[in-house]
Amino acid sequence: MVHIRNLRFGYSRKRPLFQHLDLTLERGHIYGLLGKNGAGKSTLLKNMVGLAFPDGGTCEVLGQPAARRLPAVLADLFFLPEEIYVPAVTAAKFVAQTAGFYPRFDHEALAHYLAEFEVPAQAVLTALSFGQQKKFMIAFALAANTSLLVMDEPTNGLDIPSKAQFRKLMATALTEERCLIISTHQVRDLESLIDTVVVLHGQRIVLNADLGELAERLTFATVPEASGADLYAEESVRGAQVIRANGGGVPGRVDLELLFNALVGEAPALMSYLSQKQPTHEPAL
Amino acid sequence: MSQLFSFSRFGRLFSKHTTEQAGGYLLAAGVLLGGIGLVLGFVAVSSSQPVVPDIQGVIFVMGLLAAGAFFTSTVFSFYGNRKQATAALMLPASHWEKYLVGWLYSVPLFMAVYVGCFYLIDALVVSLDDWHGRTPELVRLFSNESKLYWALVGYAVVNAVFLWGSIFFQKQQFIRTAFGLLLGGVLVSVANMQVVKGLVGRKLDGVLPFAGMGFREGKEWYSVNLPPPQNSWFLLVPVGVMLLAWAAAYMRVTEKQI
Repeated sequence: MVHIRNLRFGYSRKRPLFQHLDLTLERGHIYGLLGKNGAGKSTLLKNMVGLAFPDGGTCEVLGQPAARRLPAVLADLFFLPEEIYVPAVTAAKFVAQTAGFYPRFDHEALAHYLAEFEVPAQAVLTALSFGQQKKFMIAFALAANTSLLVMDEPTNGLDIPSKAQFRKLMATALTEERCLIISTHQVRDLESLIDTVVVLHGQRIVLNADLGELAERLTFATVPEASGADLYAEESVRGAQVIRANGGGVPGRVDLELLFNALVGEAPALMSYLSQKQPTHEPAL
Repeated sequence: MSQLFSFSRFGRLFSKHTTEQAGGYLLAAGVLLGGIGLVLGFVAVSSSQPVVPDIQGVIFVMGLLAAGAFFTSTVFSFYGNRKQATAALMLPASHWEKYLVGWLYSVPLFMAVYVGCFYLIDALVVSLDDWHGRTPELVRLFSNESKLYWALVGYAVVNAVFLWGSIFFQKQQFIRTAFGLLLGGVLVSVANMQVVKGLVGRKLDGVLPFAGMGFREGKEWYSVNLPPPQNSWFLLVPVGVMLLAWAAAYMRVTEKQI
């Protein structure tokens, strides 16, 4: 679905944002792309959808170089940016004029999503609040039924009930044929939604792993005191939050926030442990 | 389905663009009608003579170039806005189709609307003006006498440059293109003067880029030009500039990054 090899990209030649970045994303998964502010999550997504061109390496989407922006590829790809643009027409008119570009557009699904989000179909889009506009575009993006759906910070601007609705709809939208990518810096928004976590840090992908497999390999716990055997530990008001090797093999819950902190904190023990036997596609450090 | 051009996809794109921009375009047509009316009306009221075809022709040309350059500057200006550019570039249509929609609106459609608006107002002003017993007369667009149709060709050249400017610059597209045009014109004129002076080795009285030159020797004034049959070659310069600028604007659409 998405094959990025040896990607090099930077807004300035002297300060590359990515170097030797490799990433493979497959159908049938909901990926969560995590990274600190400024790590380049949005830029990586732009490279993926052809809005930014690599300085080196290759970035292929649906078998074509993303930068060519071929209509056949664009018709099977939907990108929802963090800052959306809506024209000054009603939602119904927008759908009438735009849905035709997406061959598998599902009007019934759109009506269902709009009803779930409580977005009026006859409202002029520019007259809606930012949150309502975003919900409309999320509904449209899901209804477009494209194989690849890329969302950059989709929950920004959504209220708490809408975030729950969003997670529910996203979960129902996943099929074996689709690949959904959600970028966010709000790790909690992705919990119970994604099945694969991708972490971008230090100009490259440091983790691309199935959450189920991570749960089998790691244990996340809060203990009174960290021990030397912990792969990662950080102090909290309740004691020490630790990541340990899962010796028992019984999968638990993956604490995405703790895992993310460990990866961007460059915890050497955890990095070393993960690199010994990386569960999925990309090698961790 | 072709990845370069498909009639159904282009039709869908054209329809979407028209629906979303209809309000703005109607408003712009209203401003155009008002502007032409103001200028023609002012000339008719302030002069004791009727607005003869020659004056109508001058107003036609000035208005076409000024309004056309301004309108053209807005055609791809949305690519300067990150949110709008993202929405436009991600729409499943080819770069060529996206470019063609802008080109069609800024060249044939603008020309048709401008000519229609001009003659509507012109006919009104001419019919209300005092012709002192003479027969009121409208300027003819396709007459061999006035050759006003050449203004349309001139507009196509201006359009090409401003169309390129509308996507090359991120903001203030009209001002920046006009300034660039002015600066480029001055630089080319000065460079041309220096090169020709160097070639001829004498003081020159008049030399313009892509034209003949004049100089004085004693009491005689000489003008050096291409022979009349070859003089029309100079027409290829603006046509070449036009084709290059249109091609550059298209390439800019294909290369656009956010």
